Amino acid sequence: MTLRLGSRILANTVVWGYALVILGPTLWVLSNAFKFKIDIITGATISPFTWINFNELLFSRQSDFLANLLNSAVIGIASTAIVIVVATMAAFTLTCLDVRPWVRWALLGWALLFHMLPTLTFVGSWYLMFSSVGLHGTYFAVIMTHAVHNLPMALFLMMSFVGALPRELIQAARMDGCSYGQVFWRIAFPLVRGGMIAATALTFIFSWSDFAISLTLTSRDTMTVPVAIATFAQEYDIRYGEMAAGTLLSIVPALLLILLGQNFIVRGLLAGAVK
Amino acid sequence: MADVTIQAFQKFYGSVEVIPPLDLEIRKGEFVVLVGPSGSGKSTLLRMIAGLEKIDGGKLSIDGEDITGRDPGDRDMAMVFQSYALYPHMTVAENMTFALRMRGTGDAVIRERLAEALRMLSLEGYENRKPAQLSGGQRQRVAMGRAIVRQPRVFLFDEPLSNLDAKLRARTRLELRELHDRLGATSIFVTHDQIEAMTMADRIVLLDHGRIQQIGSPREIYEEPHNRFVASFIGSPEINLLEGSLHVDGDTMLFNGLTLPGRKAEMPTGSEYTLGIRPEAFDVAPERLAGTVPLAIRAVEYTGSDVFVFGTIDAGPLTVKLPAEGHALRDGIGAGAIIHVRPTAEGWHLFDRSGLRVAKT
Repeated sequence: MTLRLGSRILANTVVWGYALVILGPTLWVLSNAFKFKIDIITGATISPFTWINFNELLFSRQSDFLANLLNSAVIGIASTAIVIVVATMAAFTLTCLDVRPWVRWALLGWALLFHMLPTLTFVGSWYLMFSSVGLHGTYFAVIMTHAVHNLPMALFLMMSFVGALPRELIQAARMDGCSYGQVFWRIAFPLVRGGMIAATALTFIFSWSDFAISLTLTSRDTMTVPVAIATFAQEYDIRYGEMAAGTLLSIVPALLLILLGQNFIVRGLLAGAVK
Repeated sequence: MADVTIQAFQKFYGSVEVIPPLDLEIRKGEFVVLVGPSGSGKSTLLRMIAGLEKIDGGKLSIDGEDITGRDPGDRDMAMVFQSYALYPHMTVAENMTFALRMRGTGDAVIRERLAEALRMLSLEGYENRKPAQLSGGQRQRVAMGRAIVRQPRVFLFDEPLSNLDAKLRARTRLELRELHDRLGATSIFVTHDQIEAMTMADRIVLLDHGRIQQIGSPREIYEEPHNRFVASFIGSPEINLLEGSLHVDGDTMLFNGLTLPGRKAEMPTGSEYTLGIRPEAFDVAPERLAGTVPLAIRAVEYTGSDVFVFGTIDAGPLTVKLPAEGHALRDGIGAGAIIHVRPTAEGWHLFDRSGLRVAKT
């Protein structure tokens, strides 16, 4: 598409302007991670560079940030593993097996409904439920809740990938003597691996960045990264520097996953489209 | 190889009866072609035999053994799909030996059968390629190899040649039939292409809307069609069909001005009939002869070995094939010219109002 010079300048201005609007505040906040507190409060753009915030965050006795990172990792990995296994198998069952249409619609409709409702609607009830069985503050509670919360999205994603498999491939495997379990392991699973990686990346990011559920269901020992960052906003003192440093550190895994997962998202989508 | 017996097969999609009760017997070693237009139920029937579609009514037996409820993998049948359905993440060798490995067949047997199939299909050297690295024709052969290696009782083919170009299709038709003969296989082949049906089949089963219209050898189907549908489906260009009425005048039979030679039939005159005459069943002359009618030419098609003339007579539109050699008319005729035609003795059929052929007695 060839544009005249004027249109091209306008297009670039709009695109870069929009990018600046989106990224600008984030970059500003993240730059605070390397500034002294006085520079942050006075709003200085250029200021002396320092590692003091990271020191405070990671190595001071008042901060458990390393433990928080570990908690987020454990919860993220566990809940993602559960979600991916369940979502892939469920997607295979719903698309390839002889399921009554009303069952399929009921299940997907149910999943969609709960995906649409705000998380905050439920956190109160979940708190009461887990507290009443003495599971408040445990890994189990958060992992299970994250799994339930992220399953609908993963299910829809996997259904599109599994649905892209040609029906005749499944039928050929059945003719070759495979049970449906064998069809899943030997044919479907190897072919939707790209899609699974994409779903894994997205699910992990959702779990990693969750605030509402972690705030309600974790205790001091199991606190995750987003909650920990929020605790730096204290009653008399907002520790901007540590917050910025914590945010920067918490972005890194998510960013890596997006970069890695991006290839597979694209590859997975293309693989599904071609016969 | 096996006999396949289908008794009272029925299929419903919801409340719609797609295949009314259908019976069919396929003999050991036969090459049977199920042919018909889109929606005739031929693929559905094949899938019911394979076990990929539920059999809503009736029984399926192989060599007398009832296999109606069995899983597709337990029927000892191999299928070649229209899209080949090769496993994209496996090599050619892995694709072809997959079924044997699933059954736990011994390595030595697998190696031997694989080598034999690769040789038979001229795929030696391609064992380690993935399907994406093969041409369409090669993929088709791998799909056939996957079936051959299993040495099944019955081969099922679901329009396997549809995705090939015309030249390759003609060549593969021959190879496929030769393979069938060499293996002594029992094969059920589905196609919508009547040329494939005519050239490959021992027997043709012509289907329309789930019902069998006729079963017979290619010659029977072509020369003695049971009804209008069969007559018009088989034959290219299509048979000429003219609506009209019959007059018997002494020894002569007249149909809308056309003289029908041949043996007289015991048919009531004046009734509504359809006359079917194939394009090659005409005598053609440049000027009027006894019993001919004038044909106003609309178009001429030259195919190299034949000339087809499209035009109209009093009774309606007509397609006529000019005979192969030595006909003075082959050169120099074009749209707007007039030629004179009459049906030959053996070449015409009469169909009654319900479409059934009226036998010539």
